[in-house]
Amino acid sequence: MTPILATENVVCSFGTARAVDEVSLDLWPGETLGLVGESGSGKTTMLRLLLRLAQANAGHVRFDGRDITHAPESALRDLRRAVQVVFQNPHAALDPRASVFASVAEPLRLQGGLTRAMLRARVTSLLEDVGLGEEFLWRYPHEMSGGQKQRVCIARALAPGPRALLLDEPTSALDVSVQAQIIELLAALRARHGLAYLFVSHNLAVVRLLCTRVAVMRGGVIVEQGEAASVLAAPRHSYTQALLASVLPPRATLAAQSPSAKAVTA
Amino acid sequence: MSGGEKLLDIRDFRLAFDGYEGAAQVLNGIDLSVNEGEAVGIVGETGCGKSVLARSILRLNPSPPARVVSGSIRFDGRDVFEMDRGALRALRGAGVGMVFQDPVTYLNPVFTIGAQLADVLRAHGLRKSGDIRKRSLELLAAVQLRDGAALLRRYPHELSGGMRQRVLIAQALAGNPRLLLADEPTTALDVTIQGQVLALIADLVARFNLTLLLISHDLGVIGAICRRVVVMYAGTIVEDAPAEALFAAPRHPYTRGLLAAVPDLEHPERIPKGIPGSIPSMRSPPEGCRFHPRCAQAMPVCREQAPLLLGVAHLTACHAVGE
Amino acid sequence: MSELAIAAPGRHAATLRRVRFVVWTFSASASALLGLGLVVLFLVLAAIGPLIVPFPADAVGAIHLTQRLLPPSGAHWFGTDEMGDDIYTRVIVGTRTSLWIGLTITGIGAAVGVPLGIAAGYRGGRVRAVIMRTTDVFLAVPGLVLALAIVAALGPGILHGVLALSFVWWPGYVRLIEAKALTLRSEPYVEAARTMGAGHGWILLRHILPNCVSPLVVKASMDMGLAILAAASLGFIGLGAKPPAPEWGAMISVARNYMPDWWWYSFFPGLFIFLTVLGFNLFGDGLRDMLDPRSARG
Repeated sequence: MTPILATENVVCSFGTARAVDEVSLDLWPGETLGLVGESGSGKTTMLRLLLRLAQANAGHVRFDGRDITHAPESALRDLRRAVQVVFQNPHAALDPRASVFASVAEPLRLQGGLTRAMLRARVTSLLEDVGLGEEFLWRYPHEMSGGQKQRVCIARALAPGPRALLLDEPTSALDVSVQAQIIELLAALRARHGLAYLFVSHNLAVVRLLCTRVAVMRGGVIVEQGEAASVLAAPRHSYTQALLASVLPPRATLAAQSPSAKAVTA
Repeated sequence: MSGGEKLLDIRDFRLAFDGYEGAAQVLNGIDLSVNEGEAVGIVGETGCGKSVLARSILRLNPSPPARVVSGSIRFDGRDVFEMDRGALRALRGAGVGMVFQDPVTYLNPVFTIGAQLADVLRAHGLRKSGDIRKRSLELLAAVQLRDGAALLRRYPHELSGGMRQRVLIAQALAGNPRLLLADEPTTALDVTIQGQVLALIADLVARFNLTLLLISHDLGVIGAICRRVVVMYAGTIVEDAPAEALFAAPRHPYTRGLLAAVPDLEHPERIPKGIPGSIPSMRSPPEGCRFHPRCAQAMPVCREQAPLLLGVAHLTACHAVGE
Repeated sequence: MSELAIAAPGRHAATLRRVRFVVWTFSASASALLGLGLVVLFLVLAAIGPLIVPFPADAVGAIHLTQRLLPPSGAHWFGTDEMGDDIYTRVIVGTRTSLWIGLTITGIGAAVGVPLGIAAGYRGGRVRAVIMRTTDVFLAVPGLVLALAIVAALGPGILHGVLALSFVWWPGYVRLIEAKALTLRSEPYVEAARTMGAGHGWILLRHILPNCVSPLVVKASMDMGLAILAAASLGFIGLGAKPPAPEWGAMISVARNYMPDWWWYSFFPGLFIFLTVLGFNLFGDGLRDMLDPRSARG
């Protein structure tokens, strides 16, 4: 079995700074890999490298074992069908001038070969899959809530029938009660369609829920990697430990807290 | 904990936003009083009105389209909406200091930190540059920023997110306020920095005897530094209780739903559950209790009559909660 | 088929909501309504003007020397000019002239400027550098002066004047559209399209171009007024329309010699220029307020 996506010592620089510094990562079929880190860790750049939205300066990016690091766009048709993305900000991820139907049908139209009636049927069934009724077909982004927009984005990502979904903080911009709905939805879709997920997030609690494996990034490198349950219960690297320590549980913790008096360097 | 006097007294406050397709009833009868020295957290999701409420305390909502329908907000006994410009200016900064969410947009990128602090201090009456500099350094030290002298010469883009937020807090403290109003002060920060900034706020509140009103959508943040929690939904307060009581035994169905929806790293076996339905439109909110369309315990009376916020120490606005 | 009919109402409901919102925003602003009214009046006069004027022959320069330079009266609402032609007739017919002048200049300017702007904003790199630097050069030369030079070379006449002004007009569109295309290029929905396998052509046509329409429409509507003013200016200097063509600027050019005794000759064409430019400016302002993304969220 080959990983769906893999990187081997991949480097991505912006100017002199290395956003991703010789990172090797595998995404196996059916698994949910969490990529955890804060801003500047390189996790978003990793996601873009895997989608070939960013160009690697060194190292290799592989799809189904095939080296696609420098492949031209025309050779990436399989990648485009098998790997799809869900972005963080649902408000910006949909064309404000396109209806829901147009947005979800876009990948299908790009593939070609479907009549209007077939498109309509497929889009309706995709919307149903993500819990949206037919009345959403002709809605525009500014007429929908954040949660609804994110569902549309997920429906659009499922349209080409992918094997893997790369999700970049898909719930960070949503309300807590909506976040739970989307997580439920993602878990259900994963089971129904046998998908692999790359779940990029800074929210450890959500990662613990959905992910089987987790990789922690900092400053462009992976500092710790392993089974989600063990890494998050007993982290070995100091940075992972710091991340875990800063998680604020939904509990009254004021009594237990002693304000730290550490001064911060200018 | 000093006083026990009511510093902030909000009574049946109703605010509407006039716009296309009618007026949106954004705040629908808010009753809230905060005593001197309390640390209160207001939690709610998008559209609940918590930020609008915070800005209303300082009359920061542009008016039109904001319009006070009825009720009052009293700070230290004086009605905020009847203050003249001089009194209002004194309120902003000297009575109440406000910390905003996003340090990137709330600091002017073309001025140095020193210049921006000086601006605020001059607005509060300091004239001599020597006094201004001294006070600026004091404030920077208070927010635990080292090497204040060098920092005064830096520009916002040269600072990290956490440092910028500390500068915003320093600005809020410049006028020696009695109430610190913080609107999502850590939302834009990295998780490891968030803890430090919250600890700083808790420390400042204790040290300067401040009253704290913290607004957040994050229950973890609220639980970390607030002793009392107010839960808002669709423009109304649905629960108002001491933090421990609220987290341990929430009474309102929405609060329970909210707590059930938050994933907890220490209890990964509990699967978070979403609350069915979605937040209502403020232009045509549900009749009666605004939460009833999504409530598993809805009764016929919930559709007709809005419940009152009742209770002694632990207040709830729900027909299903007997008192 | 029936399945489509049942669900179809939703499709048009969204457009109807948008139209109602547009109407509401527009009617909330007195100046926008005034602008709209003036623009509509202008268009109506351009359309049916020649059919309703009392002295159609006067529009092309009939000569009635017995009634030269008569002041405004019941028979001649705007008075007569030095050839005895009814000024009211010539001004109204001149509306049509002004319309095609405005449309042609704005149309050619946009037709040339928009593709260049999109190419510059979307491609970036060398393409952008070349296009933007060329545009900078054009913008550095005063527009009217350049147009004058071109007309001087080609010879006077409305057509040459319009062509010259079109040549001067396109850089403004490049600037505007380049800025917009540049931001659009990095929007998440454009990146999403790339991950679906969309090629450049698809993205340009379905995502970039439609989202450029708003700023384009605002600029074009304001440009109409300015283009008409510029053409009138050329006519005023005698390097645009030639008499007896009923172009407002050319009329004022001749009327100059009859000031101040026969004031009506220059007053009425000037009034029409003023109202037309004002109308398009107010209308364009109203459009901009309406298309602002914040107000679009209702």
